[in-house]
Amino acid sequence: MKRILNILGQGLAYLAFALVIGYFSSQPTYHPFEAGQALVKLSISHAGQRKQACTERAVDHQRNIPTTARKLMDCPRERHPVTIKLMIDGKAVFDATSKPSGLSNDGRSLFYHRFPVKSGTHEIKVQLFEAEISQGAHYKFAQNIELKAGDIAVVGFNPTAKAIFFK
Amino acid sequence: MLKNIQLPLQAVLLKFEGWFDNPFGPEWNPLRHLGALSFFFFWVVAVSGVYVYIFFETSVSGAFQSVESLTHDQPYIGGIMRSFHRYASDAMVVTTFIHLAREFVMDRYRGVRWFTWFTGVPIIWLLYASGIGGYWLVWDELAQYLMIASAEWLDWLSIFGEPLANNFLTPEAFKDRMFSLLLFLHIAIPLFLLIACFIHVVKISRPRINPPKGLAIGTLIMLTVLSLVKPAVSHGPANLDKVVVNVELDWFYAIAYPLFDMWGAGALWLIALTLSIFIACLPWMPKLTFQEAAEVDNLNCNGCSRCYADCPFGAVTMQPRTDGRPYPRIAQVDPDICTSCGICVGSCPTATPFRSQEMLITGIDLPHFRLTKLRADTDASLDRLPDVLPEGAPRIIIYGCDHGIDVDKIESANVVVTSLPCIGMLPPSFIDYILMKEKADGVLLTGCREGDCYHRFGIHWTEQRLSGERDPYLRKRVPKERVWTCWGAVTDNAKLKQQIDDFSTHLKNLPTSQEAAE
Ligand code: HEM
Ligand code: SF4
Ligand code: SF4
Repeated sequence: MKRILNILGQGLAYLAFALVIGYFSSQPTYHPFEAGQALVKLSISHAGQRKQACTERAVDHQRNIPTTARKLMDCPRERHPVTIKLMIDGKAVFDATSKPSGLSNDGRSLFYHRFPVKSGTHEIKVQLFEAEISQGAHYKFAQNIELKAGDIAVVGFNPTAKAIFFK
Repeated sequence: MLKNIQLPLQAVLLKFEGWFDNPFGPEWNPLRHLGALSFFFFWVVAVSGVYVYIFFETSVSGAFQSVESLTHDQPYIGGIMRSFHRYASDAMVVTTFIHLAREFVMDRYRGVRWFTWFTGVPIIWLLYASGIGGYWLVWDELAQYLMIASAEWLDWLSIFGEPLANNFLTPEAFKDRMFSLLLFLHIAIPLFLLIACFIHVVKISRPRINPPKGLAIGTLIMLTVLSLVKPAVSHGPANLDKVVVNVELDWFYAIAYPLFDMWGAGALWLIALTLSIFIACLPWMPKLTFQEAAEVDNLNCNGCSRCYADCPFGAVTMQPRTDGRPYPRIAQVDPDICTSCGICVGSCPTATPFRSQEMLITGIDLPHFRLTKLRADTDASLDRLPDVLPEGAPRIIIYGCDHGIDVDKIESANVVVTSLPCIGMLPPSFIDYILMKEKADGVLLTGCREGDCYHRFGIHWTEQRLSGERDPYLRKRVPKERVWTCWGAVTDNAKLKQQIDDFSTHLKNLPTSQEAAE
């Protein structure tokens, strides 16, 4: 009798454990994204302009350097930060400046952001500044796009075509 | 302060754990095998993982379908293996965290145990990385959600150059090469987890890394039934052109993802790192200091190595002898890992109360609680017992230990108490000594709950010494029916009272030594 009770008791303990595992391994359901919305992802990795243009090196500077290592031009590698502005339906939703990556500030500036929007047609405008804002935008993009619920659209930069694109 | 947190939690834990003692018995009580159960679940995950891997297709386009066909087209075995893989992983999270909490509540993580605790922290990270990495491979909507969120979380560190999340921007961006990397991670990280688990127990002598058979079988039956009733299934296939709106999260592994969505990557890094550092530093908040370490006496140690075999913390090593005595080796104690439990004293053949010297010099002894003191305390306790009791009530001496049942207020006219650091410190010759003197009619040994000795092996060795399986054993001439044990936690006072009553009745019905002689 006691043996049967023990087995029952153990079964009960295992049952409780299995219920906890079985339930929480998939429940409650989670909604990471509001139904009926779409998502615009801005992902641009773009190098800003060099801060200083290359200059010819003075001849006396070259004297101590072996001939094979001589460089005629001096090109400081540091780049400008890049600024991107994004407007959706005339409203500025993003305006950020990103430092160049890399230890000597010579890499690309990285942007990655998400913007949930209602499904429907939207006017997307993007401006990209490779240097100071005062110089004006180097790349511009404007388009009306239609997004269905759940769609993901990506704003990116195509380095070969040298243009902002939308997909 | 710390005790104020630990003690109430301990009371709850012990109560809860006590319920499991009935159906499972103290030996199978799952709450006393949490580390071993975690190991066991790891093996289940590993074996089922190998099976699932055989049918897995490592490509963005093929992975989802291969898992689907494993689940639905293989009669039972594939589906069960997949479910085993998932549910054993989940179970491992549960047992690991209860294991961690238990070690904390029972105060078994400070002092010499710091290393074991400290190395547990990377285990948690590796466990999570293993589990979440597994969910990516299915490449369903859940995988997509977890993958992108994980990439965005890691990108916050900006150490990868190009954001990792760019690999998942569009269906074209996600390449098979990346997928192979994910598979590689899901094999490599669990391997590191296994290595970390072994490092975790490397400083524990005789770690229990396998659960008792009964528990292993019960667990496998449970997993099988769960796998049949609720097989693990996938979400719809991933589609990087579409947002994931609903996910049936595995909350054991993915609990941090909703927090990530709410608070962002920076906050989550802060929480994860602060929590990890906090947990890792707990053994020093505050630090646990033990009494002085055990000392070896060169003249009395004959190098029998019993203390070396019995020390539960591996603090004793046997060294070559240099003092010219005719034994090849001598015991040496590493004071940094000695907990002053005295179990080595209980094992030493020189530790006997029968010698007539005032000072008992033993091969190994505790400076703060010498064997001489144990004998003096025992004698003093026996002196408190009357020579004859009215109504012939039997006289009982109880040995209590610092961590088990609270014996403080249990003394009465016919019951006396002596305490020692761990019941494993008691050389069985003391029982002989007491019963020979005929000052007490029975000896009751107490300690922690069975299978749960604070000093790990105090109870186990005591049981073996009493039953003659382990040196030094209780001599044959000792009437075993006059020696009882009562194992229980601090909170088990009622059990002790009951045991004393039962023992008294039992002793009363035994013939006295004169009667026995006649
Ligand atoms: C997969 C995860 C883990 C496994 C498989 C595991 C396994 C084990 C095993 C087998 C033991 C030896 C038990 C014994 O023989 O008494 C042990 C002890 C211990 N574990 Fe873990 N463990 C895990 C995670 C953790 C974590 C996350 C922590 C805390 C941060 C932790 C803290 C401890 C401590 C403090 C001990 C020492 C107990 C003692 O000396 O009495 N463990 N573990
Ligand atoms: S048990 Fe005693 S005699 Fe034997 S090695 Fe240890 S200290 Fe020496
Ligand atoms: S007192 Fe305990 S920990 Fe220290 S050496 Fe002896 S048995 Fe080992």
